Amino acid sequence: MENSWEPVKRFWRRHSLPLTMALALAFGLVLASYLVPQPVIGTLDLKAEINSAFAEDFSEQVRFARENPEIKAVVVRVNSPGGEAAASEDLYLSLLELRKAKPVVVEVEQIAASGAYYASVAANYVVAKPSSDIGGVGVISSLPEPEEVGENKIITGPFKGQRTGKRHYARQVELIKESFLNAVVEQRQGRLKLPKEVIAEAQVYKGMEAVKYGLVDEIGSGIRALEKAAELAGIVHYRVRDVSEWMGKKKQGVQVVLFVDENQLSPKTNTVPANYFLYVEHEG
Amino acid sequence: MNGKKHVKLFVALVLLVLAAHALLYYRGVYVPPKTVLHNLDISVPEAPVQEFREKFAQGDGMVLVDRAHDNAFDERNFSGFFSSLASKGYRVEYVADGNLLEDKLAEASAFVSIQSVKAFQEQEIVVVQRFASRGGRILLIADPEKSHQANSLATAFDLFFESGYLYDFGENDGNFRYPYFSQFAGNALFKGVKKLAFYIACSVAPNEKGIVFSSKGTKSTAIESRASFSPVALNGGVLALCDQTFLSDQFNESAGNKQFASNLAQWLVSANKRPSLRDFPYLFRGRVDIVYSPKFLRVALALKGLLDGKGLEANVVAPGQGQGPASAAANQIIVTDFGSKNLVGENAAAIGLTTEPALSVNGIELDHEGSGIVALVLGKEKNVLLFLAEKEAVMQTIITHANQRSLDSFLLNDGLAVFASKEAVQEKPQPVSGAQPQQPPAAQPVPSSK
Repeated sequence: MENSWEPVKRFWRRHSLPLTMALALAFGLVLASYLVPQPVIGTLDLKAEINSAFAEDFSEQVRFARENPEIKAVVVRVNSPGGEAAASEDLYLSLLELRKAKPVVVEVEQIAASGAYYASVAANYVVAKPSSDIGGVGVISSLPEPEEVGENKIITGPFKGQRTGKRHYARQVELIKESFLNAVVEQRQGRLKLPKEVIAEAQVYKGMEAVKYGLVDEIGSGIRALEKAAELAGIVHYRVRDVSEWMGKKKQGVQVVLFVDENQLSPKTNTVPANYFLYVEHEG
Repeated sequence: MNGKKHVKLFVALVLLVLAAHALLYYRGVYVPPKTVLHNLDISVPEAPVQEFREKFAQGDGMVLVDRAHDNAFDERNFSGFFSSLASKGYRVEYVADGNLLEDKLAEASAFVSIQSVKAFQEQEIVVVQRFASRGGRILLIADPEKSHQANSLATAFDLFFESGYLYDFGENDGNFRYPYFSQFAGNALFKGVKKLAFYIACSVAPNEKGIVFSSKGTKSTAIESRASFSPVALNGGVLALCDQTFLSDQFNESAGNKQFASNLAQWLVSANKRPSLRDFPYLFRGRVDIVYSPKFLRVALALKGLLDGKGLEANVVAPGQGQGPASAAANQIIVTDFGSKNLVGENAAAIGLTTEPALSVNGIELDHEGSGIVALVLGKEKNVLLFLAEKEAVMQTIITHANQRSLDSFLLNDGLAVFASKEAVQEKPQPVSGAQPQQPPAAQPVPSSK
């Protein structure tokens, strides 16, 4: 009895070469889609006054972007006047870590001032618009008020409720400013054209000035930021995905606070002030 | 083809597809830049604090502090400065009503106005100018941190607090708005002071009156064209200082600030104010003897009551006892008539008083019955205040005028007032009292002989 597989075998003997090739191509394509997926440029939004809650959320997104193999580069879209000092430093340090693994490009929309600029200098490249507001390298804070002595409150040291004396506190603020300044000088090394003393004046520059002074690298659109990110990552034909949505986070309607009245700055307690890397708008 | 060859072909094609796929997306490899954390080894240098120990000194006087112009400062923050004044034997009093300024300044050696938010009125300025012209010292402090009207008084003394604030990125006490100053004019105010730290200070014009000068790196936010700024300026007995924070307790520890604050206090209490009849009854330091003619005993006792009410030590000394050794050094108030040579004595010559052939003072002839004279004779060891009149009613009138500080129309100079009014005698004079100032009766001013 003729083997029931004989026709198949005959067919294979006659067409083995094209079949092998077709199978290899099909398998290769399937395998490639897993092993070599289409690269993604992840986008992160830094579009809010920076506070600890925002920094926590942002750092989570940075971690996701760093660990996700599909994401080959990150574009951070910045539109913020800065915010709390420690939260701003958190963004800076997170992006610095991300930069070690993947290229980071910052696209400045309207404003990247103070703490937002602090975070931006951690990027490989910064793109801004001609009229973007950039800079404001400095700290804003208020001196601690001496604590009222209360019979029913017991403290174990004179500065327990006040943190420190006014003069010492002013020096601490100066340390924070110097750290910020050093970060800008270090991360913009070779590109910065302004002396440190001038940057310390905390001026906010327009994008076109900022390029001239080396505070940002290029005037360009969001598309240019993506292209630069792709170029640094060495990728083409990439997809763009919002990291926040990818993580399944509900995209919140972000309320961008572009200018902050300094009267809105309130200490966290009655006596202990908070430090801000924040661009504040003074009343006339 | 055998099976092995098929497998090789299959694998080769799969790898080819993978490679093609990779080439479709990847054209290079990301080479991260050298990433180092910025330098965190930062220090903010601090000027050495100058050792300071307050010197206690005997003194007796009052420094008047302005509270009548919505002055924006908290005296609790100035305990160091005020205790410096106290350690020199001076007390601090406040004036909360501009109408009382003249009364209070009569007693004061110095006047301090810190961050006056309300402008000084024309009459107040005249009073302060008069005070300064007689040697009273004035310290005007403003701070650019808050709005102020200090220039309403400062300009009366040709000084002006300029706008903006001074800053220095190099030489500062931990913040660019806290500049150091180490160039001083040769002045006792800077005795023992090597360096000052000011905390948001402005410049005071004109620069020529400056006594503290900025260093090369100090700039002003408002004035770009000038190279040197002075936050402290002195014009005669008026010192304008544009920073109140350096005097406050948490900031006066820096550099030589405490020494300077103490020197400021010393400068204030070193005022050598020339007494004026306008200052009555604060014309004397220490005890005063009231010497009287018998017919003015009631007036003398009332005068003692008035001085007691002002906290001044006064004794009524019977006629003939006033020149005793015990009273030789004591200041005197002499209440007598024009012809009382034994009481008026050599003071008559000092004030240009003659009674023969007619009553005249400083060459001005006076009506004997209706006139009164108030004269202050300053001596090396004691001062003598003379109240001269023939009638008790006139005597009461002139004392009341002196007490109510309404001598202006009768003053020939700071030490001599002359009343020549029959009306003053005819009207019933107010009793001499230190309690409630009352409107004195009208009197006729005497034309000045000048």
